[in-house]
Amino acid sequence: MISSKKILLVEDNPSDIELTTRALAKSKIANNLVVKEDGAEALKYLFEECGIDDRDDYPALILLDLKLPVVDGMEVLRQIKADDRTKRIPIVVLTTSSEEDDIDNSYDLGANAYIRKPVDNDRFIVAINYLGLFWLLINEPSYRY
Amino acid sequence: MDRVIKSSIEELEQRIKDLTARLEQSNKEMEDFAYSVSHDLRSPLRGIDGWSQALSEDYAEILDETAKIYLSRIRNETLRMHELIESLLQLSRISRRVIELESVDLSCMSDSIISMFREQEPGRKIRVNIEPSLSIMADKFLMNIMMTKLLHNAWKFTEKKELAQIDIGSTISDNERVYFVRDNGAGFNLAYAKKLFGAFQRMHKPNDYPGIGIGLAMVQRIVLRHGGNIWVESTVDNGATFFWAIRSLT
Repeated sequence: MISSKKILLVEDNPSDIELTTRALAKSKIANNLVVKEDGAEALKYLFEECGIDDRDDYPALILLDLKLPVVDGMEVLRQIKADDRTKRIPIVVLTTSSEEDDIDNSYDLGANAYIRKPVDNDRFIVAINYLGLFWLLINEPSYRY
Repeated sequence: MDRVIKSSIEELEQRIKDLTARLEQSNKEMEDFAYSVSHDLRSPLRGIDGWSQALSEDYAEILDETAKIYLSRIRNETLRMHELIESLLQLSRISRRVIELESVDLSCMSDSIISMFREQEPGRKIRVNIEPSLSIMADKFLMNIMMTKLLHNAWKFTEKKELAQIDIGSTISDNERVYFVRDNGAGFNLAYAKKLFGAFQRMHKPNDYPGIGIGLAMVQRIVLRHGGNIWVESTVDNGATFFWAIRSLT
């Protein structure tokens, strides 16, 4: 299956969603962006809508906030990495937390990267730019789901 | 009689247990608070900075120079608030840390901190004297924060001196080892130094010496966590010396 290079953003704060969308646009990352605003919606999207004929492909990259309503980010991470269909999709944790426990638990559950969103928006745009460049262009993904 | 003593011991033990449980509970609450400060306050700050930046960039053509200056002030103040929040979090991390005592080589530690400063500011000419084999029984992680803050102050406040000098050493006073970091920099009037170790207290104008006034609050908290005490000697334009002794542990 050829990846459509779609990005899934799981984030509940509308301001953060727009700032991330803007940062992606500034970085000329024109990939289709799918936004899910809570953990349950994100899981439903991945397991019930993606990978089914005539519906949607799996995203090439998942940007995941940790503090989410309904099902929290850690649980979303755990379920994605525990399922054969989705375990190879790179997940970048994108959060405001720098608590050591959050960082360790994210890696233990199989997160591929952990980024603490900088308060300085110039630095945030640079981070999104690098992130897009690395995960969408430099990194070689698995095409088998 | 024995029975009376036994029952008061039991009572005391129970009280210690209760107090410990309450202490654990309040520590837990403080951890939760620090976590929520870290996460919940950062998020709106990101929004304020993000949208100020978006405004100044996306509407650059229709904003006049004054408007752009105002926007950059909003961003500077936002980043300052962010720094303050980060500092409070660092302070709470110091308080939460479980202290692990070991013999710490302060000479070696000071040497590498100074080397780091020299790399960051290769233009500065500072003479640094470090007493060799200066060791202390303390928590290495906290000592590193403490020495970094003390030496950074010494480094910063000697900036305007032609012959800047920093000494790191120790003396014996009343049979105990007293450690010190001395500089010959700006110094301050001790009469105004009552709040020197309080959080966000500053002795100098931000334009003269930048900083948010958290370093010495951290230093003091680290010394207190080791059951020690810290004091200072200083005169205006003649430098400052910070002394500390960790009594109960050495």
